[in-house]
Amino acid sequence: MSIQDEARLRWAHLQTRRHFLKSFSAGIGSMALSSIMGPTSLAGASSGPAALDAFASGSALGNDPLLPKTPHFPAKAKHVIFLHMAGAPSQHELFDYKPLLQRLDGQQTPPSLLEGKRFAFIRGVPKLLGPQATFQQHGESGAWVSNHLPNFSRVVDDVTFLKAMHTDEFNHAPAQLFLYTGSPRLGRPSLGSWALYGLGSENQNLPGFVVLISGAAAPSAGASVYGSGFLPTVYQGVQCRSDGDPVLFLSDPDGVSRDMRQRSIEAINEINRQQYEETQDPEILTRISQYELAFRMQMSVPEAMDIHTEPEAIQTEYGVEPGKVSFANNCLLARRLVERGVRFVQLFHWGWDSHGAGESEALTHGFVDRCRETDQAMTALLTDLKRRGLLDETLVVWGGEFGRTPMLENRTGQDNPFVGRDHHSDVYTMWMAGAGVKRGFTYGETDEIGYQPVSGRVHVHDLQATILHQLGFDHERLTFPFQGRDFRLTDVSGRVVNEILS
Amino acid sequence: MTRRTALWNVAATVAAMLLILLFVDPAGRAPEWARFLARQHPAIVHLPIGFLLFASLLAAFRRWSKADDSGPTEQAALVLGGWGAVAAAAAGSWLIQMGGYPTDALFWHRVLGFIIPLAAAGALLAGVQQPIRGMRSASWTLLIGCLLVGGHLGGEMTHGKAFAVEYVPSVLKPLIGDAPTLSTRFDLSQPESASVYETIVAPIFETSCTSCHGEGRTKGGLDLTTADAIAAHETDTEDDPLVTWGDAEASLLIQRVTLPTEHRRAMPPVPDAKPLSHADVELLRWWVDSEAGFDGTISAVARPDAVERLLQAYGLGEILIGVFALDLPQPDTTAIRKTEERGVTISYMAADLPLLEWSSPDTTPLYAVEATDRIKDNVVSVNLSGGNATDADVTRLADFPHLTSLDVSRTAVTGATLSDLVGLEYLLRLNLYGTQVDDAALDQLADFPALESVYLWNSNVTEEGVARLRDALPNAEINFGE
Repeated sequence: MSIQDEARLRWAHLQTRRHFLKSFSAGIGSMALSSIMGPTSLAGASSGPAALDAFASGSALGNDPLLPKTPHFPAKAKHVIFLHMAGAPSQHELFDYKPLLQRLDGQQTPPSLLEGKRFAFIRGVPKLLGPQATFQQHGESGAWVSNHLPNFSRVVDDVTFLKAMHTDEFNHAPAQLFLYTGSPRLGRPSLGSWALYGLGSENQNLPGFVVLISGAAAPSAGASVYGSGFLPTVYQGVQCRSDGDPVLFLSDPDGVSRDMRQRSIEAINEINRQQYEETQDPEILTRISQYELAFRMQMSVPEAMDIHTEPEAIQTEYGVEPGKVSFANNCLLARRLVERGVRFVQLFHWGWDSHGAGESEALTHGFVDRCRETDQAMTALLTDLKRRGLLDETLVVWGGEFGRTPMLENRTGQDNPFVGRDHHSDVYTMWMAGAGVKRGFTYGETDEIGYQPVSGRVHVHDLQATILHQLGFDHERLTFPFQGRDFRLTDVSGRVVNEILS
Repeated sequence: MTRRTALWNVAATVAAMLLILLFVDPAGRAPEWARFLARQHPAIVHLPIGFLLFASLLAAFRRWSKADDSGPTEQAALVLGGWGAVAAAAAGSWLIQMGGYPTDALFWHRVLGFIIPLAAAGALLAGVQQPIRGMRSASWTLLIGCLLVGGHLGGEMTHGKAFAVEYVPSVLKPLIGDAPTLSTRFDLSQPESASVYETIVAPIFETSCTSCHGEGRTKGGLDLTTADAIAAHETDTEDDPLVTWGDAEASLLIQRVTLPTEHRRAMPPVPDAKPLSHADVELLRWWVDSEAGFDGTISAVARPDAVERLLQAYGLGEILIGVFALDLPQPDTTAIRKTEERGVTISYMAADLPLLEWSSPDTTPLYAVEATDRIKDNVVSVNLSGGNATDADVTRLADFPHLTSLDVSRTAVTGATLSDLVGLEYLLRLNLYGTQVDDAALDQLADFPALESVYLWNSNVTEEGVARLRDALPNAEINFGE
């Protein structure tokens, strides 16, 4: 086969009937539309759904998919900061105070509570484990917070606690995927990608979806929790680092000047554009805008990521450790990024998987360290956002991928100096603050030992629907056509938790 | 049949109807023995409808075939139909005494139902021998008209207004007009000004309560027709008050309408009347729980999800406040593009809303009047944070009449010209953090009663200045960064 034949074959392969019909009808359609509507069609082009369709059909050549777009209804949240405590922190040691559990400490769990239940590690009849913390009520709202979060307890009047969260998964990776993509299996776009796909980015020189990771390891589910799934890859989360090169492989190699870099990117993009016109493969558009974004980011990212330029007082308030990778650094970065118009900032802090199998996993050791690493910084983040007026338009969400059992987990069955709890998907606590969420409010209740929900249950899909709602979207209408059907983050369920919205 | 027999039939029908009119008082109480018959009204009523429609078909055929007098089949159908209608009228009158039907539709249903036996007797007489010119067609028109309209009203009372036409094919819709829906029950078209009591509670009382607890008959000393009477009502000492605002369960009104129907104190009393529907009970509960009182408007009172859905089913549209209630034209897209070319980020607040947000650190585009003036009515939010904004730019923003949010944080603004913005009636949010604003500038804000939040961290204001502003604007959130 000659090279021409091969090229023709490839072209025919890519030029599928659907691509052809799509680009053909969109072309005719938009021509007709612009002649009918006159200048108003411009408004259509910059507004959400029309622009999305244009992108999906590939007719938006030269139209940047990251340009700001319009939500379905006025958004309360322009930005989201998601503080993910990877490994699932125990609600029994932080927010869900149960005096009865303290009294029942060490007793065998009644079999009626275990019937039909399955745990990740617990086998047989476990003992109940009382809270490994002391609790006090705080603020005007009287929220219960443990002694492990002395700073956070000062700002409880700014947050809404969701005390009866529940999920479908009880292992880390699937539960994390479920929380961010709405499905426990790989392949769906993450929450941040959906937000970026729907709203675009306010800052064309920074990625619209930034991921900041601290702690000893990355989230169990890997980069898929901030991947773009079947959405164009331009919407995927970009991991930035607070130490060394903020974005890997972004700086120019030695001996390549910025001028030369610019000319080479222009040449590459020109070739890509020609390829796109021949094959209509929409992923090429993504590639073009990523080259351009990367080039712009070379200038703007180092500036945004440089926390040394913050005043001394602010650095102290967050407790940052310049030159290191830390949750505090990432919290300060999150504020700087939101201030610069980044749509979605996703933080992961690893190390909350308190099974009690070793010191780092013990509720009395590793868990307390995690609290110390996060308490001051997340409090400073809330305070800092609030006094700058950013909390009005920034939704802050805190939580893990599931909760933990009120029972002691003792995997080996032998004497263990450390205490821990198993994974628990039926009930756990998360909190949200800012962007139209009630202040000093608690939604949901658990039973007397914090084992099962009593009222105000919120499923992971409900949480996703609520976050999208605050971003201005009807979660049932923010869809993307893939494999013959329209997909959405909440799949076929999800309810906006109006009870927590002010 | 002879004319004489037909005349006797007319006389007997008139006599029977007079008996019913005289002896069954609509406001009275149905005798025990008649209650079973009363409940058969919906069954009985279909018998005369069938006979009379059949008779009218025969009459139409006769007219078409130019025959003169009616045949025996038509006459038999008219006699059976006419006396069936008398029976239906009797049963219906007792059913009225048992209560529970809306008064307006009931009145006309009753009037038409009384005309039908008389019209049937008239049609029979006219068919035998034409006594007066035009009586034949008049009696038939009257009979068919009353049958159709009266029957329809009856159907509406049992099945609800939109029952018959709910699934009308779209081709026929223009003929019928807008199908009546649930929405006609409560007038929810002006949620901003209409009170919960007047719009929702009073109509429920009117339907289910005031025939016994009204001005004429105040059973149990209770009058539910006016706000004053309800507010002044005093219950017996062993009972809870009629209405305990904020606590439906502690309100006698809610207790009585939610008792099991067998209970002797349950209201409205079965079998004389129908119990309240679940929806009506929910709405009454909401009225009490939300502390709406007699003046609280639908839009001002908090509406839980379940109530909101109910109200939407009754036709409540979206409640718009502030700039969202303004009827603004779509913004000029050419002017938007020109402004964007000057480096301003203009974004639509939402699809289908003509409201824009303006964001730019550079203030010079504010003065590109030929473009800016064409969109300034649509701009509801201006963000100049971290840019070159000065006091003169603040003054310029007074020209943006629908501004709700202004952010001049991290600029050289001193606040000296803030009072220029006093005419911005929609301004809710003012971000002045990181500016040179001082106490003197802050005092101007006392004249902005609509303000909801002011940010002042890292400015030159002092705690005394902030305290003064908090006194002046008790409902606003003043963030001083403390």
